[in-house]
Amino acid sequence: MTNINYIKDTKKFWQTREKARRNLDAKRASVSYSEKIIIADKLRSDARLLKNGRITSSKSSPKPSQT
Amino acid sequence: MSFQGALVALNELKEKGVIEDYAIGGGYAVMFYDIPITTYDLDVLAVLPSEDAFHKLYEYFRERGAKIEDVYIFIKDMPVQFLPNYISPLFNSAIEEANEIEFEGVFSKIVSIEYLIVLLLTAFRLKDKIRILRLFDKANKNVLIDIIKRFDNDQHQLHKRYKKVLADS
Repeated sequence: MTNINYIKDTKKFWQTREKARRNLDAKRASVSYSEKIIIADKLRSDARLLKNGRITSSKSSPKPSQT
Repeated sequence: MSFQGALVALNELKEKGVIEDYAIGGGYAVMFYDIPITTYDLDVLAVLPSEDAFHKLYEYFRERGAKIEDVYIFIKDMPVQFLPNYISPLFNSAIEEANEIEFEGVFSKIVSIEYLIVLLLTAFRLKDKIRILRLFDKANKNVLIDIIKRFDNDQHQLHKRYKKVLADS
């Protein structure tokens, strides 16, 4: 990973992303009640998976709950 | 939508050389280190050699019929935002120094809690400040301060923001 040409002006990059995130949030907020239930179930399922995640190799600090 | 399915797809991207490496960041990393939050998208910090490779990444998914909306690529129905390493040296190091992790048999990488805090300091929206406060006690302060010192600049004002969060806590 040598000679990386870093972006000189990141302002536009982040503006585009923030706008996209707002659009996504607005879309999710406007879905039907049944779709909201599906999304909530999915988030709960992802949270469970994340909770069961296990750090196998760390270059700094371990997951606090595993100390 | 499947987070685990998205991880499998990301690992395939790495195997195929579409991306060189990646690490999970954003809300999903916050959920890993702290508590569940409402987040709809998966932020993936990705090592890409150039802006051209970034465009090719979108092309790769477009050719396979993936849904693309704004900056989001829908992988296994999950909106994924790729944040290339060439945004800044901070992003590059966050991937290089990410933790290796296993989620029920699927291997991946996730930014360390200290890098996660510093990435949140760069964004510094209200929700980021709240997340920083929740993560702060779990972080290694020496590692955190070292990262802040290494990557502080006028644009991000990391140290100034760090002090402000401490003062507000």
